[in-house]
Amino acid sequence: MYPKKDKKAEEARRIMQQAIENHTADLAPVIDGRKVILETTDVIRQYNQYDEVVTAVNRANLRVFMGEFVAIVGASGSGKSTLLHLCAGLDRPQAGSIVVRGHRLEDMDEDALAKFRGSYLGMIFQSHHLIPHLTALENILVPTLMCSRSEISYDQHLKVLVASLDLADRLHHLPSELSGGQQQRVAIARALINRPQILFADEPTGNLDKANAEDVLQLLLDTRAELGCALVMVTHDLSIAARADRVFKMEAGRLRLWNNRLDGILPGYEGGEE
Amino acid sequence: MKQHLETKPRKAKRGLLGTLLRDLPSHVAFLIALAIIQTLYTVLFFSAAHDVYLTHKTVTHSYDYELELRAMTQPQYIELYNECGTEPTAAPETEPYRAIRYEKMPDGSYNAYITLKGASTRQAAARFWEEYSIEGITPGYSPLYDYRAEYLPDIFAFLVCSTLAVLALSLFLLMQLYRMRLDRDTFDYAIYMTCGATYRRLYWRSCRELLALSLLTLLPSLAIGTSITIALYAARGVALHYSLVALLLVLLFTLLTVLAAVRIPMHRLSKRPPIELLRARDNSNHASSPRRSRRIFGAVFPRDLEILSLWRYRRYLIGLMASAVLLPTLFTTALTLADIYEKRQASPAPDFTVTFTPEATNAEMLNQNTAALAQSITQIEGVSMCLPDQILYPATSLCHHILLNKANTDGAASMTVYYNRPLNRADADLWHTATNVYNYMALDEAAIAALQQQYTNIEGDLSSVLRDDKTIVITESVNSTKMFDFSPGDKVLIATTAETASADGLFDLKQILMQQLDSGTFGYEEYTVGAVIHDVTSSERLAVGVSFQEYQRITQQSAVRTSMNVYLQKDADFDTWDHVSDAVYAAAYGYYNCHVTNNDVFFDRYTTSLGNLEGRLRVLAASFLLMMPLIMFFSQRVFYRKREKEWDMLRSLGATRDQILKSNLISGLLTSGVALILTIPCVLICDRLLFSLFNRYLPAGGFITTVVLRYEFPWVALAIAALLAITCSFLPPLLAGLRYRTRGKHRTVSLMAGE
Repeated sequence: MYPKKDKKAEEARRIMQQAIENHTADLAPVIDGRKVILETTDVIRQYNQYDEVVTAVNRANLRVFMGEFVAIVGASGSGKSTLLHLCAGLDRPQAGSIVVRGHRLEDMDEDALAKFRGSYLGMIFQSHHLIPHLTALENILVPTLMCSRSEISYDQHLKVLVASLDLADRLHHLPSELSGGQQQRVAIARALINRPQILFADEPTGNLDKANAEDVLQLLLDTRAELGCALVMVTHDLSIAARADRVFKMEAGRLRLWNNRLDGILPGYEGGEE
Repeated sequence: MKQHLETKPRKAKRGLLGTLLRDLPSHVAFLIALAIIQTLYTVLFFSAAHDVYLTHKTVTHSYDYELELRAMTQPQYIELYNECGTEPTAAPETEPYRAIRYEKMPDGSYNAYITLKGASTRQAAARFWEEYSIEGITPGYSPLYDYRAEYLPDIFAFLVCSTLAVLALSLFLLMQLYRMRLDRDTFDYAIYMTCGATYRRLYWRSCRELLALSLLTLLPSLAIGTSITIALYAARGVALHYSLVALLLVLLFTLLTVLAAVRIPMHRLSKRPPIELLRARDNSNHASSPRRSRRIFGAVFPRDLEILSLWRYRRYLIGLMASAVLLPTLFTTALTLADIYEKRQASPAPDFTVTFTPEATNAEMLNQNTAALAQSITQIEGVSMCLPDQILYPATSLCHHILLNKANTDGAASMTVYYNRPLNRADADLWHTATNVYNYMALDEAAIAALQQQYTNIEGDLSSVLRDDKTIVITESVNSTKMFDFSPGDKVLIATTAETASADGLFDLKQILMQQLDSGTFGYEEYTVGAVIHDVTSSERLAVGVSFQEYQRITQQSAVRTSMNVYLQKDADFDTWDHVSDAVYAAAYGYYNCHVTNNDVFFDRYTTSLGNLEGRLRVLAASFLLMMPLIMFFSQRVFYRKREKEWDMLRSLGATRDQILKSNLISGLLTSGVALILTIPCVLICDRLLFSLFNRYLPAGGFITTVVLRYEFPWVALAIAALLAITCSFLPPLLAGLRYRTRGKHRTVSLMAGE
C-alpha cells in the first residue's frame, strides 16, 4: 500500500518555500518567548578615503525584540546613524551579518532588499527626504504604491496618522511650503503608513521644539504599542533615551550596552561588547 | 584599526586654467557651446572680410569709371565734349566728376566713361546728369558705381544684421547653458551669498571662468571655422583671403558674448534670497504648487507617479519643449532660406533691356524688327538668351470675365464670384464661377519659344493656339499661389461682348465684377484649353494666351512687341559683361528709336555668386542642429541628476531599480511625444510662411524683385527636425535611468551622506 500524499501539506510546504525565497515568511527566532526581530552579528562598515580607512561600525552586535524600544546614543561621528542604516537595509556591511525577521539581508539582492524594506521596515530620516514635487499627503502615501498591503485599511489608518500628527491643514502643500517640523511629521507619517514591523528613526525629534518632540515621541511609542512593532531610535537626547527599554552607546564605531541611570537590564543577551 | 587623526594637506590649487583643466569633464557643455559660437563668428567675419576684399580688388582693378554713356551719335558726343571736355575746367570741388574718357566704336558711335568724385556716388551721378544730360541718351552705371553706391553699404548692412543674428543666437545658447548651470549649483551659490559674495564678485568670477574656457576652444574653433570658410569659397572656385581684422572681431565678439550671457542669469540669481536658493537644491524651484493632492491609492507604479511628476514639473518641461520646438524650426527655416536664396539666384534676371519706342513704325514692322534684333543679340558670345516681353492686356479694361467649370476652381474664393445668371447652354449648371483677374496674352512663335525657355512644367501643346483661334493657353496661379486647376481639353467661356455700366469708384476687382454681372449683359464664347503652364507665373493675374489675331480681335489692341530682355551666361565674368555690353549697344545702334538699358544686375549677381551665402546659411542650420542636443541633454542631465535623490527615496521605500528605469522610460516617451506633436506643425507653418514672405509679400511690397518659385514640401528637413526632437527628448531620461541603474548599488549610501 502506498502512503497517500498529503496534498494540502505539500501545498503548504510549497507556499512556505516560496515565502522563504521571496523573504515574505516570518522566520524570526523566538528566545525566551520573545521574537527576535533584528539581530546583528559582528557587523563591520568601513569607508576608504584616499589612503586611509575609516571604520564607522566596528563589530557591532545587537539584538532587538519585537515590540521593544531601543535607543542608540553617542557623540557626533560615532557611527550610530551608519549602524541604523545598516540595520534598515539601506547600506551593506563589509563583514558580519544582519538578520531581520529571520532573513539575512546580505542574501538579498538590491531589488529584493528594496521590497523587503517597503513591506516590513519603516525609516525616518534626520533630513526628512521628502519628494519635492509631491504634496504632504502624496508623500505619505508613496509607500503604498510600492508595497500595498491588503490587510491595512489605509483610509482609516491615514486619518489616524494625520490627526495624530496634526497635519490636516497642511496636507495639500509641497514640502517647500512646510516648516521643518511639519516636514518631519510628514516623514513620520510616511514611515508609519504601511504599519512596519520595525521602525528606524534617526533623530526624529531633532528639528522639533520640546512640545512637538514630546508629541512625536509619544506617537511613536503609541504606534509601537498598537502595532507591536520594534522601535530603534538614534538620538542624542538623553531624556528620550531614558524612555527606551534599552539604551546602547556608540563610541568610535563600537556598540555597548549603556545602562547608566536607566531602567531595567533585560535578561538574556544584551548585545554590544562584553 | 589604525586611525588617521591628521589629514594630509592637499596640493595648493593651480591657477584658474589649471583648475578648469582638472575639472574639464564638468565643463564639456560649455566647451562645445563656445566652440560652436567661435566657429560661427569665424565663418561670419572671415567670409565678410573676404567678400569685401575680393569685390574691392576685382572691381577697382577692372574699372576706373562709374558712369557710362554709350552709343552716342557724333552730335551728342560733340555736345558732351564741349560741355565737359576731359578735365573739369572749373574749380575741382564744384564739379561732380574727376575725368571723362571717350571712345569711338567701330560702328561710328561714341562712348563716354565718367569717373565721379565725392563720397556719395549717387549724389555725384545725379548732379552730373542734372548738369550735363544729353537728350536721347540714358546713362549706364559700371560695377564700380554699384560697388561704391550700393555694395559697400549693402554688405555692411548685411554684416551688421548677420552679426546681430549670430550674436543673438550665441547669447541664447550660452545663456541657456549658464542658467542651467546656476540651477545645478544653486546650493553652492546660496552658500557663497550667505558668506558675503556680491553679485559683482560672482559675475566676474563666472566671466573669468568662461573666458578661460573660450581660450581653450579658440584655436580649434578658428581652425574649424577657417576650414569651413575655405570649403565654402572653394566650392565657387575662389581662394580665401585671410584677415587679421576678422580674427580680432572673433576675439572681440567672443568676449562680448561671454560678458552678456553671464550677466542676466547671474543678475537674476543675485536678486533671490539665499534661503530660497538653499531650498531649491532639489528641483523644488521647478515644481508647480498644486491646489489639491492626488489620491494615489491604487495608482499604478511607476506609471501614474511619473505622469503626476511630469505634470508637477510642467514649468520646467514647457521651457524644455520650447527649445525642442524652436531649434528644429530654426534649423528647417535656415535650410529653407538657403534653398530659396539659391533658387532666386539661379533664376535669371535680365542684364539688359532693349526697348523700341513704337511711335512712327507700324506694328508688323516693329514686330519684325524686334524679332530680327533678338535673333542677332542671341548670337553674341556670352549671351544666354534674349527673350521678347510678353504682350499683355488686362481683361478688366474691357469689362471682360471668364466663366469656369467648378472642376477647375481650386480654392480661389478670393478671386472668383458666384455666377447665377441664366446661360443658354445645356450644361449651364456647371458654369457658376466667374473671374476677371486675368490678362490676355498674345502668342506667336517667338512668344511661345520664350515661354518654353522660362517654364518647364507645361502640359499640352503651346503651339495649338497658333493652329486654332478658339484654343487658349492658360496659367493657374495668382501671386505665386495655385488658384485654379486646368488640364488640356477643359472648356472656358469668355465674355467677349459686354454692355455694362462703368465701375468708377470701385477698386476691388471682385466688387467690380459683381457690379458688372448685376447690371450688364454679356455674350460668351467657348474656348478649349490647349496647354496649361503649371509653373507659377507672373504676379497678379492669370494669363489667357491666344493667337495674335484672336488677341487683336478680342482686345481691339495691336499685338506689338516693344521690348526684349537680354540674359548673360551664368558664369560670365567682368570681361564677358564688357564685351556683351558693347555688342548689344552696337546691335541696337542700327535700329531707329531703339534704346538699351543696363539693368545693373550683373555686379550683384557676380559678387553674390562668389559669396556662397546659401552655404553659410546651411552652416548656420548645422549649428542649430548641434545646439539642440547640447541644450536638451545638458538641461535634462542637471534635472534628472537632482531627481536621483527622489529615486533614492523611492528605493528606500521599496521601489526596484527596474521600476525607476521604467519611470524614466515613461518620462522619455511622454516628452518626446509632446515634442514631436509640437515640432511638426511649427516647422511646417514657419516653412510655409517663409516661402510666402519671399514669394508674395516682399515682392508685393517692392522690397525684392519677383522671382516665382514652386513650393516644395521639406520632407528631409522635417524628418531630421522630428528625429532630433524625439531623440533629444527621449534619450536624456533614458540615459539618466540607465546611469542610475548601473550606479544604483551604492546610491542609498550617498543619499544618507547627504549629497
